[in-house]
Amino acid sequence: MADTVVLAGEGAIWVQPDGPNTELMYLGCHELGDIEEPLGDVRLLYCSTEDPNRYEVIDSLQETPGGVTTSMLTDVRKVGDTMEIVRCPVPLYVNVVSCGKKNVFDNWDRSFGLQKSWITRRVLSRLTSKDPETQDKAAQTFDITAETLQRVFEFNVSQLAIAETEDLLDITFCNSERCVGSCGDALAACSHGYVSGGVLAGSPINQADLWETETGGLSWAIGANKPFGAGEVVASLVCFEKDKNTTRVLAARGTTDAGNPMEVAYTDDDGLAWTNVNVGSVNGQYATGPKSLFVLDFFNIWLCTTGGYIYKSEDGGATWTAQTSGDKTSQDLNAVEFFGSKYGYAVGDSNAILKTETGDVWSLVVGPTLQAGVDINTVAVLSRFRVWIGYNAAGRMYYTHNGGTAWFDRSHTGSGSGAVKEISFYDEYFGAMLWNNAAGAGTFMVTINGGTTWKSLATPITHPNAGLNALYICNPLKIFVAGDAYGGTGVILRAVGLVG
Amino acid sequence: MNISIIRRDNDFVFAEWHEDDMPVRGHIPLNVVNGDEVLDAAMSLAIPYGIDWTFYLEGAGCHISERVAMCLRKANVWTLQDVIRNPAAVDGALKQAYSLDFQVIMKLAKDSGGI
Repeated sequence: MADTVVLAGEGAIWVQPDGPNTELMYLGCHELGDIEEPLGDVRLLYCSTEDPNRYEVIDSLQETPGGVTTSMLTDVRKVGDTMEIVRCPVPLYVNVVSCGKKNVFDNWDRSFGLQKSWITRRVLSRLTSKDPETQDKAAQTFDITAETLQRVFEFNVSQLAIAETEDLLDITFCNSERCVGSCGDALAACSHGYVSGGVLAGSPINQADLWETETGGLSWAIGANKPFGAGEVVASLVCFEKDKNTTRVLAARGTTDAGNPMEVAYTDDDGLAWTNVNVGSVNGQYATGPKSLFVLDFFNIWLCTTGGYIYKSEDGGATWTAQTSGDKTSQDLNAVEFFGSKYGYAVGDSNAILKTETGDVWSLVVGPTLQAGVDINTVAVLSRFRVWIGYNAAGRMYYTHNGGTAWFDRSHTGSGSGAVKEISFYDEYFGAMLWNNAAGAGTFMVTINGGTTWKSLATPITHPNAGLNALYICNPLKIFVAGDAYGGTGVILRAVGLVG
Repeated sequence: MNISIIRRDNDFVFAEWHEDDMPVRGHIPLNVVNGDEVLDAAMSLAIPYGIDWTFYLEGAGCHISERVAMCLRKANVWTLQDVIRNPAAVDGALKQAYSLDFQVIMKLAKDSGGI
């Protein structure tokens, strides 16, 4: 069918001269040559056999690939070209646009992102001619080598069935992609995961459920036992490898318990048995959001709570040590995230932002002045300097490129009302966010250019819901979202890049 | 607004001031602090510190929450941890708050000639 084929005339080239999450420039009268993406040669590994001079292949490996190469051709005009003044490695995008204007970035059907593109050579052609037969347009070519080529396909968003009747508060997945081999069968990214349910309002006996999938969300089974007591929800959920045979699921209680301190629970057997652990000693403390827990690995787990507390566990959640004790701020902290084990940010009520550059010593950061007194729901830490935060009012999200010295508002289709519930990034380019409007219904958006523009994948019209709470990015081709109960069950949305 | 700086904390000062007669503490960005003065408009940048006792006690059905809140803060009880650390101060604050009621009732009784 004709509409399945991409035509060269549908390709739109964009560049971000100052890097991800900066101004996008449309390169209209430009053309890209072939994009060559080496994936690495395959080297065969041999062993000698019992027969003289005979060898057998015992294994193979893929060698390190080189950079992605291409070249860009354009005219030499009387004014300079954007590419002529590029000095640093920049993101380039080739967006396939079949409908709408090519100079609107988010009209892409699919996109090819040439991340960190270096110009390695510039060639000027036909600048002069000595006779009419060689007279032609002067042209210039830029040879380009990029670090990687990120392919983003058009997304298909569907709601997955689950029998949970309460709100779904957090969602997490535990496995990465695996090829068939000595470790087992082939496994797609995000095959194995969990989602946490809320509790029936007002019920004295209802306990929050944990649901597990081993089919990438296509089916969900309720856990045999519950992590917490009656009326207590799971606010935050993470999983990580304890050893090569054991995946640990760690849950944080999201309801206050006046007679007990903060509590987490973990299971090493998919929810059959839970070990409950008290965290700290301040009664009534609890976790408030899906990003209250952050896990880097078994030895580096952080938890933020009400009252301005940040705890760290270095033993898979079995014991916890307070890193802040309401001394830096007494505001409730709603989300914590790290880049590596040293650079972390925690955000909370009343515009409270804490950061650490050592992994343990925290200090307050001055937040955006216009958001004084506004609660922050979420944080995404892309690097030591690049951080995003999302607010609980006016749908605001802000970013910093200098570690919190200056903050900038990034508008999106929902700016001005509602709440940004979660922001997460897969890398410096690909991210997703959830925005609930003033009525509480959620929209799910993605960015492929580091945050300069955000494209809605699911809205209350296309995917009716009563509020979206948490998201999990498996890779730029697969994202999961959990939300409040709507139409009788909790909402799980899955966005997958269309293949086929 | 006059503030009393308790300590400096990197890019903030941790300070105490009064709103009406209520003691208030918070972290104020250093760049809006001029000696012990902060422009009223800039006070919105302060990140409040401590439990909002009024809200807390009203939620618990306490009708004299504002006075109790004031006495708690004047007794240096700012957080739930302060409550656990120094229950005697809480006890003292409550006695002080309720003693005001007692004095008012006694005065009313005397004024009315009941004694």
